[in-house]
Amino acid sequence: MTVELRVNSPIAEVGDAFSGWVHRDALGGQVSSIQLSLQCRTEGRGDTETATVDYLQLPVESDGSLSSPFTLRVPPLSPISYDGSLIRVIYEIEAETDVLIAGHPKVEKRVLVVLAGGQELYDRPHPLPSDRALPE
Amino acid sequence: VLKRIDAENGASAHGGLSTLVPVVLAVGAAVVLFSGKVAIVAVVTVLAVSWVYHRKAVGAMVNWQRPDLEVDAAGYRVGERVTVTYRRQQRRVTGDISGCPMQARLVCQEKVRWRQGADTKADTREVVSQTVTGFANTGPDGVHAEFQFQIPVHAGAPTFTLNSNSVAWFLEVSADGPELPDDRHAFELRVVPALAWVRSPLRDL
Repeated sequence: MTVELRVNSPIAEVGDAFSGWVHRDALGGQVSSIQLSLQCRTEGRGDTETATVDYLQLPVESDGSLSSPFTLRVPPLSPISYDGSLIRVIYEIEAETDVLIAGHPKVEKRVLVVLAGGQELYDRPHPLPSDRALPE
Repeated sequence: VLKRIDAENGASAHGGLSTLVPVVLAVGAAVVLFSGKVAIVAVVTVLAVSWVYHRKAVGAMVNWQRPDLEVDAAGYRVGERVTVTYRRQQRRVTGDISGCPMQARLVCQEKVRWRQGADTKADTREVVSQTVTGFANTGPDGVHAEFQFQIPVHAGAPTFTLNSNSVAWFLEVSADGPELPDDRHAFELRVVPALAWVRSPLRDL
């Protein structure tokens, strides 16, 4: 079994955080930690840019197992998840072992970073669709 | 907290010195191509034609100082109803222009760069373009005009700048009246990643 990643909510506002649970079975081997990160990358016409927004290194037990909650923070002025004309901004939470093991690929989970105050409003990257009603 | 900002890059988007470039080139060509009285006639003709076509742009340079825009120093939130004040002083009074309409265009621009072989290419796309109208008032500090608009929720994105990908917002102000300067200036606005109806500390960062 590879690393299992559970995210409490796939949507977080800028200035807030993603939280969840990371789990790995006791498989032994040379693994000493699980690296967990929030990655931001651009897609589109311009050069792809990637950035590690937040990062955690969680040490595994002596038998190689891990079961731990995590929190990855989104800085207040980060770009938000965006689906534009020339640019897309994409966020993913990645989990991988510190030692690469054949058959144990990196685990990725796509998440949304939305405007402060937008937690209840978004189910997709900004901008909101034109038929989406806004609070008064 | 309000602050005054200058036009982007310290240069007008239209008019100003750029108006003089074709004139200088045409005069230079006339001098090179012709000689004697013919050259003088050609230069005078070029200057006369230029004056007809660029009279107001040259007048803007001579009669008006560079404008500035009074904006919220904390930036603007998505969905926010915004009021900004455009100010511009006259070097010499050319007439009462109170009530003259002034136009502004709210623009959100995506800008990208990419490498292709040894070259770096670039592209821009306007994803928001809204026209806003204001009215000029003459006061002791020159002409001022207020523009009111809303930062759209359904298009564009908050300001961000990466190495090769960026989103920027501008207010591009122009005027079109007999006594108003015939030029255009772009002012960059900062849009923060927060919704307008939420009290957010982001504006204070």
